[in-house]
Amino acid sequence: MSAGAEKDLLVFEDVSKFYGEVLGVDRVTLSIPPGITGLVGPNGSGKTTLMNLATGLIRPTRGRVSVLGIPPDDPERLFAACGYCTAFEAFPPGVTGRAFLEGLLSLRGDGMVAARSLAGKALERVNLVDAAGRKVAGYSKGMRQRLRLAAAIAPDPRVLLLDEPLNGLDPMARAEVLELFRCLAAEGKHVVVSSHILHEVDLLADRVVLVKSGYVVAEGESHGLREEVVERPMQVLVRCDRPGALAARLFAEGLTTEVELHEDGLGLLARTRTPDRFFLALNGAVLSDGIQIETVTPADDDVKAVYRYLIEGGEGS
Amino acid sequence: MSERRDVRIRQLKAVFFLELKRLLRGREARAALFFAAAPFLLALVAQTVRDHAVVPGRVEKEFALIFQNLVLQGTLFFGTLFAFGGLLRGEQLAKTLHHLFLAPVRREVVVLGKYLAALAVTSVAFAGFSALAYVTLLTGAGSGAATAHLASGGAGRLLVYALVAVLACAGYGAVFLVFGQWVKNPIFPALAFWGWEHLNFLLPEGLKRLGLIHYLLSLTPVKVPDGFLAILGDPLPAWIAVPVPLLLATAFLVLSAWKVRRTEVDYGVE
Repeated sequence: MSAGAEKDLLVFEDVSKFYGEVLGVDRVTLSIPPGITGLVGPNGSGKTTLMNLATGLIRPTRGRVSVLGIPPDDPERLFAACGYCTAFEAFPPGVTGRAFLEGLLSLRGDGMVAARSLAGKALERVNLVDAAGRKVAGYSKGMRQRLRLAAAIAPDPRVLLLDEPLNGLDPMARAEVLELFRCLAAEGKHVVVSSHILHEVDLLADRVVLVKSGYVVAEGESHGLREEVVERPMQVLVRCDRPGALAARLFAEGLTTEVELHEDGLGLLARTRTPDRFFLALNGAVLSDGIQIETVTPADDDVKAVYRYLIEGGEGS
Repeated sequence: MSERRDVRIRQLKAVFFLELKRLLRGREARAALFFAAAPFLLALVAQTVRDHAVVPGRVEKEFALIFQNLVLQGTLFFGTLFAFGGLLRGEQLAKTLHHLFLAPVRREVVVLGKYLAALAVTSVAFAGFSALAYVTLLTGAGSGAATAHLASGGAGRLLVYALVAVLACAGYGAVFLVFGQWVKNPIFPALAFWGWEHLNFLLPEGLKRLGLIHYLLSLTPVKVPDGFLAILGDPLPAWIAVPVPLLLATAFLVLSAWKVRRTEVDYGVE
């Protein structure tokens, strides 16, 4: 990949990381464009390892990492462009939320006035102004999480890496934070969110990277990702007035492997390995056979289904 | 280029003050202060139980004994071990090191800022308490004699002791900073180093120069006999005894900077 092309991407090129004998991630090759990218996988799958590699907290055993063309061993440039909200819980002892944030921001070298201003804006953005003067030791888990988030977003970086950022947040705060991520992505930033809470990633992310046991098992746009699971037929829910006739047509054209008719007689669940032709055939059924189709819904065209297929090895919903 | 240098100087100041606050809140600095206060407390006890006046010349010898045997080879050594050995290791154990490593500042600047903060704390503590110990002992000579003694060269010698303490903090501190980066528990290499320093008086003159203590003792204004087993060697001139500990500190700081660039922060989350 050319240096110019990398300037707008997070790039992992054949990256492996071993902790002694233990595999962290292996042969990961990824290019992450702007927008919201969900990094999904069970605990221990390598999500945090990927984020730590991108920010230079750990070094790859093999391969190359760059963030907007900046290597992780250049912290001056990297962290001018990138904020990382880690999953690490600890804060320096005895500090208040505001003092912690101002201290960190003073390391930018812009002086305390600028640090105070950035800290104030970030605290407002994560709704932590009222508690900012209290010691962090007395914060709830959710407040600590918001403080970490404030530290990551305060310098207005182009890239945000967020490791399980919704952990410990109450529903109201979750909604606010999700909205914040959407706003940041709309500003053209890279927002990479790791999570094992699938429905949130499904709702939030433009792209998803599925990680299992240190390997990237699938990546792509949230819905397009379903097509990677070629060995599993896609499930499509169709509500119509004559499901029997529709099933016969689909079988006749060889577009479905299995159909379940709904008990109310007004729909069916079909499994197909050729979704494009399947959907064209539905058009034909309407036009040629006069079947009234009310709704067509992919039943497993979401991250959760792909996650089940690829990571848990189970059936889709 | 000069703009970048200015930014780095401001960053260095920021790291220095952040670390200063952390040190003053943490146990490492409290341990260093406890060690630093020991000679002063000893002088206070000695002065309290003493039932007769002493001549200032005797005070000089008593203080020289305390400074050489208790401060340089005991409290300052272990006080700097606590303060500097935990600069990076302590943050790794407290799982807070990533906060500094995720800021747009070179890790070398982080190390230097932390080192200078610890140097400031230990220098003030050891030089300050040593001076207090000296003055406390001197009060045993009566206020008139003490004032006269200070005016006739005592204050100059006191300043030299303070500078030797600062030099010792700089040298031992840099060594212990590196120990803290290389080994999980720096106490073991520190004990081996302490043994080497402690037995320096038994070594032939050539080997004496391999111990930091030899340079420090060469600078002390009043010499104390090392005992009947000691192999005598001439004190080194100041133009050698001052720069060598500083060069040693610089070399260890370079080593520390090299190491910190390769340091991985992984607290075993995954």
